[in-house]
Amino acid sequence: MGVYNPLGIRGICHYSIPCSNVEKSLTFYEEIFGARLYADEIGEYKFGFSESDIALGRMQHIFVDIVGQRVELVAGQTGGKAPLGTHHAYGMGPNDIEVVQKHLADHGIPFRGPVTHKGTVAVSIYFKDPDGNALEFCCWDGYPKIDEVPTMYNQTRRDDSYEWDPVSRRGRSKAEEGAIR
Amino acid sequence: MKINPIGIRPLCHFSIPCKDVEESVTFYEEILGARVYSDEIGEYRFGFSDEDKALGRGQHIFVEIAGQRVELAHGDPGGKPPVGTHHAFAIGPNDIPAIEGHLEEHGIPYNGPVTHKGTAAVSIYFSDPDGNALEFCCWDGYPRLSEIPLFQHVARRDTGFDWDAAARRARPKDGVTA
Repeated sequence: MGVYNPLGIRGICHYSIPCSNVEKSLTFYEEIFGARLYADEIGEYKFGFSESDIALGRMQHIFVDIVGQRVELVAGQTGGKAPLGTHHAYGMGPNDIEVVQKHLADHGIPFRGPVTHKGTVAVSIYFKDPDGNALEFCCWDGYPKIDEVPTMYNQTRRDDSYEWDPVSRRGRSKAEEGAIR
Repeated sequence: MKINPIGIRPLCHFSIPCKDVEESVTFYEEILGARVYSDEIGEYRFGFSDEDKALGRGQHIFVEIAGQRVELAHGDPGGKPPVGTHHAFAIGPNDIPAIEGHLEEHGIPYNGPVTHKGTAAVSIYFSDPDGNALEFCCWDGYPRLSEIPLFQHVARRDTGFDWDAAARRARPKDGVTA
């Protein structure tokens, strides 16, 4: 059973991420978060693609599982600009901070951090999905070298936008793109 | 422990943009049973002290909802529902009438219950005071599923309202019925 809640709420069922192209975003979440397309006795959770769904006016949405969390990648206007709007942070362990940075760097994803937050032991690495939705890896479990991590507010923020290539499954920074052109 | 090929752990927290984080705390306390997060460093209310302001820290308060850490963060909520993200909290098959009563008692307009073609999910949709989209969702086998209409077959009503932080309930928006 879940954790106590006075209203009997059982925790997060799912949350949605607005995507300009849900199938393209699926490759990003598979590659960067290890997402798996959700499937059970009713089949794969890819809705809004069939002719009957389109006739019904169903918007495209795909459910994936990320570490036991159901996430809905939904077609829609992405709007907003980070750091406005919501962000979602996934946990990482104290030994994963270097691993996660390499993981992002290997995929050509620009990121900010690690940074810490005044008065806490949280260590954050910030980046974005291909539509600019704000994401974070967060270690709240006691990073042993926290004294070496700068606080967020003293950092200059660099541009962390990029183009996601769903075929090679890696990002290409806007700056890099300029150089290619 | 859930297995993940990247080795990441479950969702640590997510943020909800709020025009007034202290007012929004009263909404999330009342409607979702949130509690302000607190441990050996004190209450997780950041960006309020003079020192925090000098640092340029935005106001943000961490709360816990059914074991999930949620950050109510000061910022322009931007966007309009159903655009943008939404967050769905799970409820059990016996909770659907209870949740409807809970929202009604607080004057919160909602849409649903509705179901989704080909699934057993039953959803009740509403908004927070800034228009951030929220949902209660039962994916655990509601016994009267066949009586629930499809999402696309129900006209959606406006879920906007003004939240009265002192009374801890919504008041209908002036002239919203026009």
